[in-house]
Amino acid sequence: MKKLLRILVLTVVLAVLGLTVPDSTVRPAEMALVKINTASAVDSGGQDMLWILMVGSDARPGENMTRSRGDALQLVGINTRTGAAAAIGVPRDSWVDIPGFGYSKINASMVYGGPQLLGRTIGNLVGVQPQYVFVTRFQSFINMVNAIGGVDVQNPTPFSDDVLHRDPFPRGKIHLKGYSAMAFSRIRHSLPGGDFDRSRNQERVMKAIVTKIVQRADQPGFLAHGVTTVMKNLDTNLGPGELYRLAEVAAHVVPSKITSCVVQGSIGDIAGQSVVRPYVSAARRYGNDARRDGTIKHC
Amino acid sequence: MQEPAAPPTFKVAPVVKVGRVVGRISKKHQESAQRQISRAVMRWIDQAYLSTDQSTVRHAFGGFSRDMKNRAFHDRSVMSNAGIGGITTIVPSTLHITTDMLGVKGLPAGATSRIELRYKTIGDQRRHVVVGGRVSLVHDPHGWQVISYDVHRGVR
Repeated sequence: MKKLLRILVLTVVLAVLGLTVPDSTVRPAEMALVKINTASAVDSGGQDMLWILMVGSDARPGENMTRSRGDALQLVGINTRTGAAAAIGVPRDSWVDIPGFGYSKINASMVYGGPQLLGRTIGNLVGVQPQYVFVTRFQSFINMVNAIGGVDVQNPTPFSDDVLHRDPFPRGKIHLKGYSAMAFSRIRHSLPGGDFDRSRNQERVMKAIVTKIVQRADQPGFLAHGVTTVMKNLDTNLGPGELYRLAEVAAHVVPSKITSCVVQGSIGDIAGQSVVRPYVSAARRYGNDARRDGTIKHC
Repeated sequence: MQEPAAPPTFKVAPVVKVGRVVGRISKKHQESAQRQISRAVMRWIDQAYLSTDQSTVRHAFGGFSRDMKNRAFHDRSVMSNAGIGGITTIVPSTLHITTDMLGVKGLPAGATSRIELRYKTIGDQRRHVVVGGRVSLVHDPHGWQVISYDVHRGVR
């Protein structure tokens, strides 16, 4: 009887439990954690590193842009597999051997032999020959920066210029429209490091441009607009398809993987000209570093 | 011995349209380019994601440039279903392809297709998959070829 009672109680307990314990069906999800995998690549013609010399010509309106002095000189190496990019700034007053013309300021190289000779001259200094030379002028640069909606740069030193930009550029993160970006890249007299600091500012603007391209590359028609703007404002003999590919190369750069250095040197005076005698071994080291993986280890 | 993989239960009807056109392209060339671009993109999507047979995944990248073929195959865990094993059936639900074009002198010179594909896999694992992103193409003597991709794939 006692055993029967125990079985009866147990049966009742199990029955109650059966009513109260939920079954094993999965409740509707109120949260989800989904793993997103990404893949990204761009055709680089089978080469991991792509080298482009960016030149800001100081040609005035009406002057031939590719037979004027190169005012801003940046050799950029992009690792198309990793998205790393290295920018090597060269002071325009660098006193170097220009192939076929002897020693002179590096920015005279384009006057003597156009973009090809300037590319060779800078290639000899850094130890890496560029595959492309892009030349632009002040107004075209302004147009291109405006076309992408301006850029944001981190400015370490407040400065201004009586001729180019009387309103001082404040310290910190600043937004630059086309003209201001041009002035920010050109001013040197009011910077403590002169030409070297100016080259660093050019690198800041270039990094900001790439960052903007990467941010906006997914927007409908952005790359096509970019290529059209470049075709209007850049001196290039490349076809639109090749420019489209290069626009994609720029859009695949990872901004956090951009490293940059300006070739340093000693200031001197030759034949009444203020010149920079570049530290060639340092320039070669930047080139060698970047050649491996698109990264400069340290300046 | 494994049973032969079953074909997809059905092919999804893609929603294909032209997005932004920058520069001038004649209507005739625009339509022709869209057809060829969609074909190259669909070939990849169909063989990479909507086919249960992953042994021939390399063929999915036939519309890619030579450099991109190798890179896409290397990235096949995202660029195809290679990372999901034991699929017996694939049930696609939506596919949208919107193509922006660059026109120069009346001809299309470059294009970017933005894609979104949703499908379900049935087999060892039941998964809901969303593939999105963009591929860019240029026209060369071999026709329209994919020269870059930026693709993400979410699996739930």
